[in-house]
Amino acid sequence: MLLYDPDSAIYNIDGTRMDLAKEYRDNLRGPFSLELQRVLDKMRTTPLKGRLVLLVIEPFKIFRLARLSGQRGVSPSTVHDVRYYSIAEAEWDIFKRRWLELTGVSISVSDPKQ
Amino acid sequence: MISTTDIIGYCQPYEIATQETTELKLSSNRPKTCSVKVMRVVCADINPNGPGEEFVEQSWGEIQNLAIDKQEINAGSYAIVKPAPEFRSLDIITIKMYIWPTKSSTNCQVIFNWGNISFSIETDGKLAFKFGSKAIISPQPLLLREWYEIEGVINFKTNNFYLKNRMLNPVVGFLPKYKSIPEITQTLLSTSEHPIIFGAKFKKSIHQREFTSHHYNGKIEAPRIFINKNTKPSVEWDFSKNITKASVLDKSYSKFKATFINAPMRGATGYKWDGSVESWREKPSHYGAIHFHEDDITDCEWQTLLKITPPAQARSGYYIARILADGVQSDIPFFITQRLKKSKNKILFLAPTATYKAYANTHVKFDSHNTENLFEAPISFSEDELYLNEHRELGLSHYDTHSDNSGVVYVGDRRPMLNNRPGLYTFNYIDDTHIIKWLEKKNYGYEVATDDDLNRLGHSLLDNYKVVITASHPEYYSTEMWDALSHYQQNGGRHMYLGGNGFYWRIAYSDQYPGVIEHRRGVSGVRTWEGEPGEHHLSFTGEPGGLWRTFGRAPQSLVGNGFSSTMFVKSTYFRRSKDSYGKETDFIFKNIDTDIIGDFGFRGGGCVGLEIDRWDRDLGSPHNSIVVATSENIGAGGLLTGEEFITTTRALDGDQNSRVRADMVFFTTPGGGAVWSTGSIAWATSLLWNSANNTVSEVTQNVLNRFLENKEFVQSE
Repeated sequence: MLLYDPDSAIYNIDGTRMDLAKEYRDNLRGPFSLELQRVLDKMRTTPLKGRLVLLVIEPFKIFRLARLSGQRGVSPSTVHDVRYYSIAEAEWDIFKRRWLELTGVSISVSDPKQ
Repeated sequence: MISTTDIIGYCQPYEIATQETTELKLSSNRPKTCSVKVMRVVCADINPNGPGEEFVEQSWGEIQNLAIDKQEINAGSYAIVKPAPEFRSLDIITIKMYIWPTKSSTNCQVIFNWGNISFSIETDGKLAFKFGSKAIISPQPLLLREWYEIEGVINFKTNNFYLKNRMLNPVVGFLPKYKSIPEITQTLLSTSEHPIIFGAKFKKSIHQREFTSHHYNGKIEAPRIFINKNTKPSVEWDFSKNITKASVLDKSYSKFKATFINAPMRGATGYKWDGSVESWREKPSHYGAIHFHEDDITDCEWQTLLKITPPAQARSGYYIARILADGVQSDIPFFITQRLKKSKNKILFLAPTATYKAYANTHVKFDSHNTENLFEAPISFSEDELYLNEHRELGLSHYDTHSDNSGVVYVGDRRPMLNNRPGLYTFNYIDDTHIIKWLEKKNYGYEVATDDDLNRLGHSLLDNYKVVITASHPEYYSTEMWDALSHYQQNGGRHMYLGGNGFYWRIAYSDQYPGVIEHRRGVSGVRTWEGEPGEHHLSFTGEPGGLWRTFGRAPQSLVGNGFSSTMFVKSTYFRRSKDSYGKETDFIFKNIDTDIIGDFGFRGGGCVGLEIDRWDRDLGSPHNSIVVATSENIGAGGLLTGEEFITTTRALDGDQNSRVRADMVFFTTPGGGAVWSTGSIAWATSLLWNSANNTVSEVTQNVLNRFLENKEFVQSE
């Protein structure tokens, strides 16, 4: 029986590649360059425990940032009181947070214009 | 905020005809009273940027100030023998069985319980044989997924008891055999007064209903009870017998029935299984085990709070009982099906209730490692989903694994199903109501029947209708359902398939477990788990489970196209083919002055999206089938399903592989019938774009209008 490997994502992100961050910021839904795709694949297959997710506070309007517990039956824990008012806003912020966590480098690219 | 989970419930049966009764079962986490309104669902999509939710309140079934309370769920499977045997002149009692544990747990897991006797796996993984307040515990923890024969002996003459266990395939570092030093006995409780329970501990009995606790995860095989010095068991159960049934009699007296509650998995490989066969039908003796899970549930067995009986004039369709209370709005789904009498309507919409059950209460967002990468966007959780995660007793979906990582093979509808109702989980149920709303908007008279009807009644359900419409994703089909649809097609029926990835997995129903379907994932297809070796055959019927394609019935052979790819990021459009300009298929695009169809929609911005199907003559697309349109510009977001490639290469996405595509297919059938298949889930969710004034809607209308004509289709060569 084949099970999931929580550590299957082995690609290393080069934290200095701000060009990839900019590419993502300007086109959240792709298609992406091969390198950016690999960055996203890595971010989206990190272990379940601690993975950033969203909680719907008000359907279609307000979302709250949280982390998966990785344990069945245990609810996600909220991250401070970070709230988003669109999925696009959430996607970009989660990308920045994951970049920092995985590379130790903060994204220096400015946020998209509202 | 209005809560959708402070009151939850289900209707039993889930699918009724008019003048039949469904029983509403509710459990409240807070309010003490509620009101109930019955509503027909026209469109369950509550997205303000969607096609517009629509519900029609009914004049029947309403009640105010209904008293409600919390109801318990006894999740976890077990076998119960009641009444248990009574033994006189008892000097020695010996209990033996084979076990294959599958989970370490922070809870004690009881394998066998009879009065004050039990076998259990303790929280440290060690095997215990308990008698009264005393316990003998093995020195080493049991290894998971290894077979053991365990034996407990109580000798009332010598006044002692002991435990033996034996590993069937000894492993270095673990004792191949263990026998304890005898301990002093207690008094045996009267055996006949207490039920024998396999897979759990008896807790209490209320109104003839047993409650259990300390459920075991793993297999049990060949339990035997020996009395005194007899070498032959006085009573034993052979779990390789009656695999299709929910009970089995003991071998010795044919009197002590072991009844299986919450469907532990039958047809499970036993300690004798050696890989020489794949099916329990071939060598039942290799399938003597039952796999128990602490999170199996087939029936919540809640008390009925309200009986709902639709009047004769009620329309068939999707219905909800809307529960309203202080700060609560919770919808309980059921169906009124048209299966009892001939209808004047010529269109039948088949609600894919088997598929709804297969997805019911899915936990993949929480449990499955690849979900975010599959959908290629951050995962968000609704109140319903958070509740499901915290309340695993509501049961799992076919997409989930049990807590011991084995796949879920049985799912049922006698439980709250929080993602098959108006809400934020749009796949299947909500997407399908786009079709219902479209039919109403275009003023077509139609009836609704369900998969359960199709399975039971076969083609007679369909024969009265000029047109049968299957939904956006009718993925799970039993042999009876497939044969019924095929018979209808081959005898002049007109079938419109408005979806993608349909007719993909084989399932079975059983009269032993009402409302339950069985499915085995097998070793191919897009899956969230893989079945155990040797366990791919359905216990309900003995048929091989898995992909229909594996048994020479690729979906292409039924509807002209079959599953090729997932594409959850963006949707795209169809381009009309040159072949479609022929006399036979020109009607499909009548009055449409563009070759580009459906570059819009509510799911990903196009009518080709989510899951898509392609034509393939080699997989069974009929020789006379015509591809009338094919997708374009799918891009790298489209990914081939595993069974669509033989060798793994880098070229498996829509930018590089021509099989990542959707083909819209038309063919004629004997008796003047025809089949039209869109091959994309997002087709259904594009119908209502721009208030249903669009090319997807026009194409569908062209086909439906022609299919409703009496004029026979001439069979093409």
